[in-house]
Amino acid sequence: MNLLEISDLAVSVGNQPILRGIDLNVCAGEVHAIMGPNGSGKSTLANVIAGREDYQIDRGRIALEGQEITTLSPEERAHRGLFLAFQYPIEIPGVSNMEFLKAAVDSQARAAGDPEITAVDFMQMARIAAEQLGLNPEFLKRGVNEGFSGGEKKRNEILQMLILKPKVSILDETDSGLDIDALRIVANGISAFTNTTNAVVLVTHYQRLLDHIEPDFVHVIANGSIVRSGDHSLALELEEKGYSWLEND
Amino acid sequence: MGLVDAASVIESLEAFEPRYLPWLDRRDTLALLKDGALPRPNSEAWKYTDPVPFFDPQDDVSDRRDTTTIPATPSHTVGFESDTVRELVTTYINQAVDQRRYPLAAISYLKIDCGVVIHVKPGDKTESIELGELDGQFQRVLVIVEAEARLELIETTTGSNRIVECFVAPGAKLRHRRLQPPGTGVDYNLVAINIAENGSYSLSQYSTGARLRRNDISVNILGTGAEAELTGAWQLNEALHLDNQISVNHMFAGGTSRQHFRGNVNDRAKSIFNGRIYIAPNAQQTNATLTNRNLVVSSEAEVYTKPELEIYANDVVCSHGATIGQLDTDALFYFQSRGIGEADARAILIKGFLNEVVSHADGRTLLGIET
Repeated sequence: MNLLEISDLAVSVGNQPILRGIDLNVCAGEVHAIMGPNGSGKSTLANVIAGREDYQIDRGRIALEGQEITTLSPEERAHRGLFLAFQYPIEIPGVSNMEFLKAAVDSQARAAGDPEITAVDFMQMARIAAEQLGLNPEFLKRGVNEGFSGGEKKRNEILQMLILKPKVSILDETDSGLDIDALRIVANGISAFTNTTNAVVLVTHYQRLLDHIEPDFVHVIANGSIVRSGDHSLALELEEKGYSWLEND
Repeated sequence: MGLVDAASVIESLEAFEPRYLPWLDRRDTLALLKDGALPRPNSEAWKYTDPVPFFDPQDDVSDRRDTTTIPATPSHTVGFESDTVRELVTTYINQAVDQRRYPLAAISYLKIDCGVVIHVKPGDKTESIELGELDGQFQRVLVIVEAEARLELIETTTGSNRIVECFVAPGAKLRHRRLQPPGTGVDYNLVAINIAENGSYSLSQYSTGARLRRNDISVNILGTGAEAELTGAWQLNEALHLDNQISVNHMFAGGTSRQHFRGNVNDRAKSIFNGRIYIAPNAQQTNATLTNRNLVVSSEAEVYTKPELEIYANDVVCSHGATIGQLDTDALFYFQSRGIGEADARAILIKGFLNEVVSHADGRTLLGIET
């Protein structure tokens, strides 16, 4: 079944069109990669799906498990199982990573009508996830992303994904800022997370992440439209030829 | 009835017959006020707070809490009446307070009706004293920490008119915490501190507002290696008012001062902050910093902040900064994208913002930012 369904989505900022009619269907168990040059609209697409308010939706719809989400707040979308790993995670001094994560988990439990997880169980879950990503559990006590290296910030995004267990995860350039070892750890974390009931959309410039996580589909965005879709071989072809041959199509 | 002009204030002070400590010499103070030291409305120091209601504050019974009982320890004495403290009082009173700069402290001195002396003897490092509401309207607390001694002083409330004078002797340490619960009246506070060489003073002040609340803080750095660390946080709601005026005066070379204040201002509340660093011509190798950051979460709230540097020495390190801002929308979106509702997200972000300068549980409770 379609977990995420985007049809004819057109988005602008001010009077400047950014997305010009995007169609994308993501089914449970699938990994999609969205590739494209700088300024093509990849990050806009990721942010619009998550409900960021800075954009004007001109037409089209976004549905999660068949339910239209376009008018929902970002937190309501999260409650329904959507997750965005930020390209530039925000630093929040004064709020510990642990407190932030616990607030997120509690909010989602409340929305689902589930009991809140105990602090002890939560600590345990967070520790396991941190270790899985090669992060020292001490890191959970630090301010959210405060003074983290680029790689730590990206790992922290994946840590949140592992804990929140979303149905659809959109990972916006999670590979940027990671060295080769960190890339492998993060990719292994993502791979281990994927199963037949969830889906992952990887937004990336480069093919290198896809060496570690085999995508079922690769889509290329240029000038606000998906100009080509294919399988992993498309990503390899892009690596070789660059994007210009598609932009000029 | 409030007094509205300087002449009638002076007249009333001249007519005032002190019943408490009649032996205190009040003549110079009265002369100074007659000489025009009373604060003038709209003057620089009173630009955003009307001084007139402070001239003759009405006793605000509703602000009173339980009268404190101060633990009996050998190092300190309550009250100025006893002969044993009379010498300390006459030696120290007004030695840290510049009455011309702080004329409301001068009025308070003339009308003093309650006194506490805390005297920590040389080398005594065990003192921790909690001071609650005191039974008087014009309160004076003298804190004398002798050489190499240590004191932790916690004021759980600051009352409607309280002047705290602190003397930190060479090598002594005073850690001072002040909690200011919300008030409905007109509160005036002055903390004046003299720090001798290698002495160390730290202030953690956690405030809400009152109908009018003024906090003057004056720190005199009087020796090499003297250091002052002043931190404060405030949370203002409704129509409460808080005016913090800080002056750190480096009068001697080789001193250090740090000031870090943060406030969150909501509803129709009003926050004023003025932070001054003064470095005298001979105070070389001074290291002084000052920051004040403000969050304004309501369009009707008012925040005024001004750092002021007056530097007459040429070999110093000095920095300052003041900001007024709103909650970061990117941070809000980050929280919301994790399923945290906007109201909760705002509360956590405000808490995080203040937490940077809050290091005591009672401060968190007062500010409503418990974890």
